[in-house]
Amino acid sequence: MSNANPLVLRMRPQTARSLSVFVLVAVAFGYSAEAVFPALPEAVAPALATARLLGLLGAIALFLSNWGQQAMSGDDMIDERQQRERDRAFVLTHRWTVMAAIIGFFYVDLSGLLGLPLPRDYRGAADILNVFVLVSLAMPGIILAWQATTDVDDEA
Amino acid sequence: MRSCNIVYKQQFMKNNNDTFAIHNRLALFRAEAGLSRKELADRLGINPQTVGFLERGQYGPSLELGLRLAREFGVSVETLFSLEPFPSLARQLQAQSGE
Repeated sequence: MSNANPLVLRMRPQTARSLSVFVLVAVAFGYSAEAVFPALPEAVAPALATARLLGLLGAIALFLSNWGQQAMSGDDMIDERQQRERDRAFVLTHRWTVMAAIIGFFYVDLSGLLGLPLPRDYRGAADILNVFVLVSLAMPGIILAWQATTDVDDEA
Repeated sequence: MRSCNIVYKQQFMKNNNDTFAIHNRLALFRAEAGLSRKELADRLGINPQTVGFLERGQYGPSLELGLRLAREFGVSVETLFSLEPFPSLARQLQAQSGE
């Protein structure tokens, strides 16, 4: 990924990793809490809205970062090592999203038997779907950031 | 320069789960040519970090990149990469001075 592109937000691996943890927690909490726990007090609503907003902004920052851009780059924009890393990140993302979907199916099936919480309405189900889509979109860049090795000599 | 006499190796998994290594002298040749990683990367049209990955043996290059690296330094691929460990530069110099 070219370092000279002004649209790319240069982010150190540690920064991207910290931001990715924040995004995953904020998006999951902000979108899922109301759906899974409908009895939450009204006072929590502003906190959830803030978490959703910050999570979305963080996800956009990750997408614009060098890691997100590497994940979305075509073969002509990155070298063969970066292509291999990108492809591996997408394979891992595919595995994890399929696994999450399968776990979700089991959860829905077993929720009636075990009394597990479920979204009560269409809005709650859509919120869960939003989490799934947002996390899936951000995941390749997040994986690239977590797999990156830091070596100051590389910049020399 | 600190790593010019260090031979790095790359571990690959073979189909029978045995491991073999690809050793390279990239850091040595780059230091001898007086090139920074960025300069070498620019010549080859790759990311500077990829040069670091190659030198540390964390990435095994494609045949095309291996050939381009060899051409860049004016040597054969076998001079730059090997399945057998290269003798260290210090030992080679010691052996030559002892002759």
